[in-house]
Amino acid sequence: MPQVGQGILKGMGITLKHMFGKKITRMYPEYKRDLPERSRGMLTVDMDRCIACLQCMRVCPDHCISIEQTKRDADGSGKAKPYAIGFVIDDSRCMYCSLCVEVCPVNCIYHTEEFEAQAYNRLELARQFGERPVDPTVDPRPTVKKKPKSAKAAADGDATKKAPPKKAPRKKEEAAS
Amino acid sequence: MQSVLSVLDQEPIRFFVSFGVILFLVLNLAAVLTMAERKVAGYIQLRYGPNRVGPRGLLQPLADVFKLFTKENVSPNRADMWIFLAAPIAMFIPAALAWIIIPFSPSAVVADLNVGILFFVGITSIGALGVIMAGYGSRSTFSLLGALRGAAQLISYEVPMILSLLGVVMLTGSLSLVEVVQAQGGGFWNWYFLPQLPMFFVFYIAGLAEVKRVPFDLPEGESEIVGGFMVEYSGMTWALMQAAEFASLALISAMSVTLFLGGWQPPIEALDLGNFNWAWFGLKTALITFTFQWIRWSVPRLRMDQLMNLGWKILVPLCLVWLFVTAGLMLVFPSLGQ
Repeated sequence: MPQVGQGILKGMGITLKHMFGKKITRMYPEYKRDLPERSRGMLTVDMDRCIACLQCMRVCPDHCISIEQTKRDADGSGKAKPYAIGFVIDDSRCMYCSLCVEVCPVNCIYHTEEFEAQAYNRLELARQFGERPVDPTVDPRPTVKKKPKSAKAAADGDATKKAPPKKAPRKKEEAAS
Repeated sequence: MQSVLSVLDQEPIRFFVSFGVILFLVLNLAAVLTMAERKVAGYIQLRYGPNRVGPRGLLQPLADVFKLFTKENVSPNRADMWIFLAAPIAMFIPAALAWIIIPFSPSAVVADLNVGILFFVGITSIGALGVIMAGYGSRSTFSLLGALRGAAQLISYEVPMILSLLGVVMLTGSLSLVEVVQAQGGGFWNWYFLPQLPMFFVFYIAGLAEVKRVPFDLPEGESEIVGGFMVEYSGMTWALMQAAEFASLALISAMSVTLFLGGWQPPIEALDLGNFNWAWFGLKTALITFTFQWIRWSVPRLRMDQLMNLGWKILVPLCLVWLFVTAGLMLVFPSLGQ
């Protein structure tokens, strides 16, 4: 009988003590704590180093990267090389899996410490990096290699006969990627 | 100015004006208490609570009220609409109406009924009807569960609550709350919580159960039946229920202050503030309300059988025993009763 209510009193003592104790809340927008070392923030691209190999675009499971490729002699070597004239990262799709960072051969795409991706419109989340804006709503499945073939097929005029060989390389490409 | 005041002091006008003031007070009290609740919860859990709207979050009730006013009122498709919509009113009106007998200071009482305590007991028990209406009218299983629990709990805890008031009534020899407070004058050792300590304890616990607060919040049962009888309510109907709950929370605090803690009487006579003695009443009420909130964030919920056991097997016998003790003491020392 003398123990009745002791637990309640003890608990209420603790809560009363907490009432005047130091608060553990961190006032977020005013105070931002340091991020962990390998935290994945929003992606960014160093366009000077990008060689437009399109590997990030292929590997991205959410198709959030779209690249528009041209040939240009950007480094003054006298030889036209692939050049990313348009580069868009759609943060509304990105899931921060870091696969593009792993696959990039020149380490030009990487995570920043920026993580506050918010906008009033989903299209505002698509960040353009290249000279020419790319439409982020188009599914950026890489079709670069097929383009000349299909153009040739269209030029030949006989589309029905050429259709099966057109499909085959695409399947192979998908399997490879 | 003087003539306007004297006109306002005429009987029917005085009643309506003061009742309007009380209604205003109760509605605002409910809004402010929601914020107080969240602030206390935050501080107890090592947080700050709401602190974004206005200085230190003090405008949060305003934001809450605006949000609730603009919210759509959704109801279940097969709800019994009359009962569904009448339930919040049936809960709020008694909670607000009971305030008219609370004496804030010797002259500041809306209606000094000579059956004040009886009025209080009668009016507050209507609140159980609102709970049952809400649960029945929603036509939802959780609502009905909550309402049944609420009915059982509110009706059983009515008994120890009424019994615990009887000791005070015996000592005072009156049912008028103004006379109850006047009998407690002259320092805190004359307050009734000392000779009636078990009764105060019982009234406090029964009051907790009557306003359906943790640890007796089985009708709501946030974590098991997701809000109980108020699960189907939204917008202003829900707000009215919350207002009723907070109004009755403050009402129970005010009643325990009036009956056991000397109402507007200062703790020692040197601190008498004259016409401003209502400040003492407010201070004590705020303190009791804080203890309610403190308990809410410290103590886990009781099980249904534990609740019933506590009510019928502990509180009621304790009340009866102490009634006999009080009666015996009054017989032996006739100076105790006035």
